[in-house]
Amino acid sequence: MRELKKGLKVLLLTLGAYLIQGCVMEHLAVQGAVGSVEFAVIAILTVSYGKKYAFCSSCLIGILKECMLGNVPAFYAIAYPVIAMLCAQFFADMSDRKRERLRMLNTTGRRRETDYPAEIRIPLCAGMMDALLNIVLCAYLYLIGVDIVFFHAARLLGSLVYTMALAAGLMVPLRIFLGMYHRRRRSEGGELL
Amino acid sequence: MARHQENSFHESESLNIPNPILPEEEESAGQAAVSVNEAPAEEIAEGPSSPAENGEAEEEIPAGETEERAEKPPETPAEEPPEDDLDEDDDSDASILQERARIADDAWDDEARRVDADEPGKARKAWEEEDRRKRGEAGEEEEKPGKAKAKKRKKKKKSRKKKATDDRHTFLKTIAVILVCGFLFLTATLLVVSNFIEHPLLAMPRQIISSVVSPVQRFFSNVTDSVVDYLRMLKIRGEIEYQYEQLTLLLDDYATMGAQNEEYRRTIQELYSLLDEQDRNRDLNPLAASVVLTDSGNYFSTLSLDVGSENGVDNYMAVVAQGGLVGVTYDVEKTTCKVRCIINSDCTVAALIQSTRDQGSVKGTLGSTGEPMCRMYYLPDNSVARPGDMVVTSGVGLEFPKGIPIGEVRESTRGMEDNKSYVVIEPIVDFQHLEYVTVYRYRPTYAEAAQSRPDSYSATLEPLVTARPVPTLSLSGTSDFLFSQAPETQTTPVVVTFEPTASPTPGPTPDVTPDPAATLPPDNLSYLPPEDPDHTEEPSPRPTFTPTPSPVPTQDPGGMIMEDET
Repeated sequence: MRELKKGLKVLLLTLGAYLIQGCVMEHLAVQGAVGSVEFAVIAILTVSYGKKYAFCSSCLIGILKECMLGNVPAFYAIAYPVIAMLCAQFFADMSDRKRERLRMLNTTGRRRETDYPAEIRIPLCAGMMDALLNIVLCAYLYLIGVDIVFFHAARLLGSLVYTMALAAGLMVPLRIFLGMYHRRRRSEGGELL
Repeated sequence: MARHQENSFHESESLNIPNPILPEEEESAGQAAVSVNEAPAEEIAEGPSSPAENGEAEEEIPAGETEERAEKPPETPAEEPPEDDLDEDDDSDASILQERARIADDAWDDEARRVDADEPGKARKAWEEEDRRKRGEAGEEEEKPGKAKAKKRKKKKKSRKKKATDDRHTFLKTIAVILVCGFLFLTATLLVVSNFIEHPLLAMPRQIISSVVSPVQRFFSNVTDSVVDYLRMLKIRGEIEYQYEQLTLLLDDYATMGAQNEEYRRTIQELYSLLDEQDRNRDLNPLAASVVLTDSGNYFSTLSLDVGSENGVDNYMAVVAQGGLVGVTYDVEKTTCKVRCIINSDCTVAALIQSTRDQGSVKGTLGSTGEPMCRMYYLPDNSVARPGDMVVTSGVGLEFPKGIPIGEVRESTRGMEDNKSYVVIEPIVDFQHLEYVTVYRYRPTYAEAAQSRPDSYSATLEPLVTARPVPTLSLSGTSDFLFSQAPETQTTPVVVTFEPTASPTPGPTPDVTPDPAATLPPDNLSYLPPEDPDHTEEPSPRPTFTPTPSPVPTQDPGGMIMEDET
């Protein structure tokens, strides 16, 4: 039941991010740069729920974008999951196996066995995803004959900052919605839920 | 044999590594535990009583949890495996139990050393308490062995059920995740492939997704557009309100500036008028002055000007404004003077009607009727002034320039009503709005000539030599003497020219350059009124005066008195 609830939350967030990105964000452009709510949500899911949910969310968004407004054939359907998984390798919580392996290897105390705070990882993850997508798009533009000028770099930078700001702003409310800040309850037997 | 070896190993371990911090009772307890481990298989099968038997034999202990579990080996409730399993795997169970006991003892010893190193004596106390509690439980268990066994079996069953349920949930979750991810991956793959291979089956996911998402997106887009439009309207409204406020402020400023401009315009107009009037009558020695005080009462109207004797102003000088006569100066001080307006009852000015040249005197009516009007008296009896006739100064009496407009005839009933000996004149000047006036410091030159003459008592009157008629005599004695014409030569009157008799000594030659003071003033020195901008060559028809009968109030018939009644 809990997994179903989590799945529904992820589905709701993903659809909401897609709709907001398609309908609202065009009105909130700053100096021609539009932030990506989708990447912000995917980053939050990546850090909060892990890679599987991040993959599902990114794949769903990619499919929706591919069906509704894909101008480059098969671009969104491939780019979103790939970029999300790539960034999840860096910013998602490390697995227990990896943590244990690092702990066993940590004889000098130099290596870090714990993850960075989620509040730092979420904006960084969103920014990295947005930067990767923009870089891929710029590369595509360059390949079709468009000169890449400072304007593209400025827009990339603006979009990057905008997306990171969106991720930082949406982080707390969405993580509350996802139940990341709920106080842990104890069962009757003392087991942590 | 293997069990024996393990037992001996465990024993040797436990014996060879004495616990330095354990008390003697504890050591004996440990030996007791060892002795339990050394017990025969049947006894073990009945139920282990040592701490090493606690915990699940099948459970795999993670590395992190090892220490935690080893800390409390006696606390862990002993879970007895099912009897069937024990019967079947008797040797293996005993060896496992012995191994677990050994691990627990080692962990216990390590922890005890660590804790004792940190806080000496604490571990001893803790173990004493633990031992006491354990002994009590052991006593209870000894009292109720059957109940404890049943309890253990129930717990074991419950844990197994729970574990099976968890395994099932984990399996289902994994399946669900695989299904979802696979479905999404498959859909994405189909979408990608459909871009390159045209097949109705491959295009189906795109169509389904589009048909499902499009209405939702359209609805959401409409809602968003409505909200955006509303926000934009609010923004525009705010901008409009801001601009309206700014424009209102600007309009106020412009209104103020307009009023100031109007004031400046009027002032300039008045000053231009003054300047024009001064330019026209430069010979009358004009002087511009400002009205500094106005006394417009019910009976008198006087003004105070900011010029006085310092500026050459004297009493009884004409004051003009707006092309008409204002009044006469009086009570001249050094820097100020007063003006008695022509509408005062005590101000009388000689005037004439411009069209008929009938002369009279103009007098104000403010004191008599309260109206700022003038009346012209002493007109000839046969003079009938017509409304609209201009009345100007005649230059008689006061030393006024001639021709200054006073006003127009407004009402003349001299021909119709016998008792009226005056005509009503409406002054040209608006006495309520006087700000600037012109004082004509005019003095007729004949007055100066008179002043330059010697006094009258010292004058010697000398009769002028006039030509006298020369009688002509007729030599014929006929009757037509008187009617006969004289000869032309004789009828011609003799003009006697008075020429001084030549004296033997000629007199001095008169000065060629005459004295300017002695020159007579030119005849055309009079006031030049301003030109009427609407003036045309063709004379405008005179307004025909038709006296409008004043309405007679009809009396109330009820209050009338009939002749019969009187």
